[in-house]
Amino acid sequence: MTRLWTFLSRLWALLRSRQMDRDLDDEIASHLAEAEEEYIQQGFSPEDAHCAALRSFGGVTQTKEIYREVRSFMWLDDLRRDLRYALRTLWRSPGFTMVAVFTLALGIGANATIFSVVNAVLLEPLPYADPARLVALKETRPLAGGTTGQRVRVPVSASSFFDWRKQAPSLEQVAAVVTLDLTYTGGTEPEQIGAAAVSANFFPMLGVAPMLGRNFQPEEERPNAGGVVLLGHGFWQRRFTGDPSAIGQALTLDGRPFTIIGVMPPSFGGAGSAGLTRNAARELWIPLTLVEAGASRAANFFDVFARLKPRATLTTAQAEIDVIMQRLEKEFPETNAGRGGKVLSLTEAIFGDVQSTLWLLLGAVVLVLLIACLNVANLLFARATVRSAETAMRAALGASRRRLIQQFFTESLVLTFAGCAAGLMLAWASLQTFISILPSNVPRMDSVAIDGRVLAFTLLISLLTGMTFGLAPAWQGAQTDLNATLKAASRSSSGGVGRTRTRNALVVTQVALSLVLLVGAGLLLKSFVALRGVDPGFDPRNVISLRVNPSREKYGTPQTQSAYYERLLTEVKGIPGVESAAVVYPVPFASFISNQSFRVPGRPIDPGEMLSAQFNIVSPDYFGALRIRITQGRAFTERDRIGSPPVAVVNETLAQRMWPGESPLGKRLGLGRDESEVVGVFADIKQRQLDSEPRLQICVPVLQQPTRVMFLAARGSSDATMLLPAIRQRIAALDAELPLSDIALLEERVAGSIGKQRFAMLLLAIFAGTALALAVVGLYGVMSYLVAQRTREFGIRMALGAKLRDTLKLIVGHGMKLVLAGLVLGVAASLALTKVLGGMLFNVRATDPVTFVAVCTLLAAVGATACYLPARRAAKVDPLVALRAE
Amino acid sequence: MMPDKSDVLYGTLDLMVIKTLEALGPLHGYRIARRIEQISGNQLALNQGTLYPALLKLEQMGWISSRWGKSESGRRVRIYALTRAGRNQLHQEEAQWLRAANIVGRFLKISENVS
Repeated sequence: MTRLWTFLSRLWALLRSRQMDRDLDDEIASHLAEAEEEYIQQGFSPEDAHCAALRSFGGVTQTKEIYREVRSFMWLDDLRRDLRYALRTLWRSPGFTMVAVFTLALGIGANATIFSVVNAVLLEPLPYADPARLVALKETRPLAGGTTGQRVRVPVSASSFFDWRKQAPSLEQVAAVVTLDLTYTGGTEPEQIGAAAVSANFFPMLGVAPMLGRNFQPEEERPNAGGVVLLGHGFWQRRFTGDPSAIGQALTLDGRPFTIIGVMPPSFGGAGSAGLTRNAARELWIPLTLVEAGASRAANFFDVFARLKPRATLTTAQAEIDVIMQRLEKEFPETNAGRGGKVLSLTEAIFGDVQSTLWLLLGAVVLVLLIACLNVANLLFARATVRSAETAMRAALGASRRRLIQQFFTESLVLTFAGCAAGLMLAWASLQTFISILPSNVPRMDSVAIDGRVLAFTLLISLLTGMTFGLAPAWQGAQTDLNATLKAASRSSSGGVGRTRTRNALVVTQVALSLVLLVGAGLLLKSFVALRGVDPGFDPRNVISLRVNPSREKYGTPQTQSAYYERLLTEVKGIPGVESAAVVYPVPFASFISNQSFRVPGRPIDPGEMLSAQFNIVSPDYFGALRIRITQGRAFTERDRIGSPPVAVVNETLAQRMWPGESPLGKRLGLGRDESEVVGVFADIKQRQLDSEPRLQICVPVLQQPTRVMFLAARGSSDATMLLPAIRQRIAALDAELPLSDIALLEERVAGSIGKQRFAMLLLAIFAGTALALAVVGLYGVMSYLVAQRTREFGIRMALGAKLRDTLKLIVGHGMKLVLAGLVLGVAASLALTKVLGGMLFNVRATDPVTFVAVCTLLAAVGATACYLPARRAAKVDPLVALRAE
Repeated sequence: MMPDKSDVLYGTLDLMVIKTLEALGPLHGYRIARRIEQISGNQLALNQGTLYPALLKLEQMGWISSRWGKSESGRRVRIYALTRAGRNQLHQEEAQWLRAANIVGRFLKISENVS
């Protein structure tokens, strides 16, 4: 109670300190007057009485000082004074202040930017109920043609889904999803809408409810149930202008009628839930019709999600899935041999590959900040040395050590907060640019923003920064040998051995840290160049590709499909500027690939071996249009059509694996129910990733095994985008109701596949460049300072006959010693740290000697320049001037 | 020769101030100082100035209150008075002091006996 009272009255005093000062003055004055009067009464002369009164009172100033201390929060008063002082001194040295604030702004701004991405993408909880209990389930199988033990995660077969749903006690609400595109024909032109067919319990499992209307009913999962559809918020806004009466209306999708039963909330289905389904944004949901009886074991289509029961863990669920899969393997060896299952947390399923990149970048950016800190610390050390005379004077006048430290530290804090503010502005200004270079498959990147959490993080790191770079210089700055400093005050004081040593250590650390970043960036750059240089096996230049989606009604049979594509190709080839054209499903580097299991009659099957190949349905001129080499036999011709003997073309890897030492031509290949004859071999191509190992690949002719949806690929003589209007027009002329989608240059598709690597490389390069610049500035600063300190010495040396060269050698030698020490330390640190890059590198080892040597050379060269410039300035000084200088 | 005046024992000035105010009622600063000096028989080296921070502290704790008034000679002075909380505090501290002094006194006697 008493304490609270004291606190409140001090608070009150804070507000009316001036009034209280006046009151105290009055009180003391009347006290002295009373005393004087009494002394006079005792017979003192007026002067004596005055003196006696003062004597018995004690020091008036001290009293006021103590009084003030009692009156309010002393530290606050001090802080106010220190702040004013710090602002004034910083204002008076604008060069120093600007360099320091800019350096800090760079470091803090970069951190704020990267953290805002990490925050939005990784830290923000998923927008589902209790997301920690949500899991994604995958099937796994051995990688065909891969090294032993490698397994790939694949979608789940219908029967596995049913088995897991029934037999895994750890899981509740197991739901399956399959993405599909539906043609919507209610608008002005046919539109391809991203949709998903989901189990009725999918939304309840996630804990997401429709904003309007109702969810699917279990009976709507049955085949032949009337079609119902849930709308995404965006679609509802676009097509129904947000009208609630849309519910109950009919919607024609793929030529079939659907009844609208509800609308999902805006947070769902857009990029907010990206990653939940394989292709990002979904706008329509329909019930998934699945019948357990006769469900396929071989076809893997489904994304499966589930909620863990309250007491279950990933481990228990994984163990149960393992048991189920082992049993299935024994029961159904022909389909399930080698297959397994994998339970992932939903977070890992969605963010798995983005996570490592972002954490890496955050690590890099923290290093940049550290370098910035060291730089500012260095500047502060230099400043403290210059100001040591002032500090000594203050100490002589009675400033306590604590007060001195406090005062220096306040200056650092002012710098920090200026840096923090400038850094936030920098982050805010650069955020949009930054988002634009993010690889497009980063989930949730549209919600990246500088929010409260980012602000808090920035403030926190700023405070830490301030302490890192502010404390040591404050400590050292306050440590003055009064006598020595005051005596030497007329000369420029040398900071003393200890201080120089600290500054040298700072420079060495800076060089070492920048080396780590430069090595990281160098490795990624080299890896990226190697990746870019990979020959995909086809020529992606000047090829425009787009997806053609004929409707099921008009093009339901193989005959109509093959007829349509034959006509389409004739039309497109007739466009002026088109060199060649082909249709293929799927086009290489589309967002998905197609896999097909196959048999080789007569070839013994290893236990657990699953033969599966990347599978493309192609038109005869596919190989010519994409410039894929045919190495043996022939490509397809117009004669390979429905009714003629089934044929296939395989890649070299498949030919060598299946028929080593034999000619593959004329061999049989079992595909589905049919057996095809191998008529040709083509050179391996990359279908999805440039850094993948060679895969088994099979192509079959579209005229023989047609499918409804195909990609058109047209090669132009120059810029293929120019062909697009003509292509659109020809397609519309054939069928005005036929929607196109997924239009992109083949080159863009290939480049997009390495977007993540490009992003990581680019950013790390930017950070490393910043680090290098900061380190050089630090080195330059130290050298300039050192040279300035020793100008007199150099003057004497030269007066005694030292040559210009000798002086240069002396100075540069000192600087290069620091650089070399930094390089040695940095190489050691890099060898330890670049291991984290291991998984991101392609054809480059994390200890790549070329990169290390190149980076060291670069740093040494830049370091030598930073030493040479101040050295030359010193060496050019006229000895006479130097001697008189002080 | 006069014996050295003793310094005011830390923390005792507060007690002296409130005891003075209890005995004499509301007083201004100079009167309080003089009174303490008189009671101690001029044995205390009291810097009168140190009284003011002490008065402020007591006021912050709520044991005394102050208002502006007139001194006997008509000067504008700040007059301090004991509050109820201050009176309670005084009783407590008085008892504590007596007890403490008593114990110290006994120790001194024992030491005398031993020597």
